[in-house]
Amino acid sequence: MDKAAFLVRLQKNIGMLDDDEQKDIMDEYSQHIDMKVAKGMTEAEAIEDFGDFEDFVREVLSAYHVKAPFDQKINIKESAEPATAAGVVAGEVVDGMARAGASAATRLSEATKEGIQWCGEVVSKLCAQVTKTAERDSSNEASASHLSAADAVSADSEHTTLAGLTSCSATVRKTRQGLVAKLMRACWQVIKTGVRWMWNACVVCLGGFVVCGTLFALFACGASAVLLVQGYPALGVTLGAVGVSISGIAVAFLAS
Amino acid sequence: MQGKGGEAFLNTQFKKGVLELLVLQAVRTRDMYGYELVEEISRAIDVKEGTIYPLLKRLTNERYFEAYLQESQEGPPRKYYRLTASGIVRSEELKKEWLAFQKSVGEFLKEYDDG
Repeated sequence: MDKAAFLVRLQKNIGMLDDDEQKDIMDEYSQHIDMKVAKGMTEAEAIEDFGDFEDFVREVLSAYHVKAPFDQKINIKESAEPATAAGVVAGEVVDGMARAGASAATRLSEATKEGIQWCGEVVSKLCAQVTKTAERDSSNEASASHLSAADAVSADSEHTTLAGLTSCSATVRKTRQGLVAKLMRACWQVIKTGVRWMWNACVVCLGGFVVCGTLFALFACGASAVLLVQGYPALGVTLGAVGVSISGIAVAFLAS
Repeated sequence: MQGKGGEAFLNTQFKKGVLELLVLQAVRTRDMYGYELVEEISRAIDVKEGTIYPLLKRLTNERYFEAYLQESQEGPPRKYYRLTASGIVRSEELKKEWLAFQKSVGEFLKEYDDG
């Protein structure tokens, strides 16, 4: 092989690099050949002196963290390693999602507990109110019966007793109306709180679903890039890493 | 027990370990271009030309070297490498580490040879 053929072959194998980088490498090794020739070697000997061509290309491309084209063909067949790596990353993402889900479930359960506690407090307050009202009612009835007895003793007081009874009955009616209104207000509060909690739960679930779905799609793109474009593993790994990073942030945010 | 392949592998690992030190030390004495460096280093260890280029590239990216082109009477301009201040520090560090490592390994081997 002469210098020109060697340089053409070299360029074919480093074609994935920037033009400047390609030129840099070509100039460097063209110069090496020239210097060896100047020292008395033939071009073929100078090129042989580089050693195995594939090893040589591998070494040169290692400076750019790029695989040689002939290694890519092998890797397409033996894609177990990237797949394993993708599996590990996928496992981490799934773990993250599971942690986020568990955290959301814990929060929901806490919220439910709080809601139940609040409902219990409202119900107990209502019961207390009902008890008080009942006591007041019985007290009013006692007062009414006391007035009736007094009526039997004195005919003069008949008019006063009747007025007292009317007044008592009005008080009882008012109390009952107040109790119904309070009960309705409490029911409305319970319904409002329930609806608010359900809305929050829906938002959390929907948001989590959207975030996880988006991140998973991003991760899948990265993993696909690794598997499909094996000559540029850095691209796939970067995309995957971006997906995993955002996922981590989202998971941390959900967990906080 | 290691065969020839294993020995070659070990030898390669040793070379990789000291190559950076040798390149830094060589350029410390004067600015050099790629082929000149290969020749210099080849006096100490058998090194392939394909191995030196990535190393020079990395050391330049890590700012231990500065590269510049200089006209040559024998052909196209040559790319010379010059050691930077951080390159000098790095070369000193590597030299110290190497000497300490060499001393420890030497003493160990001597101790067991005597035994």
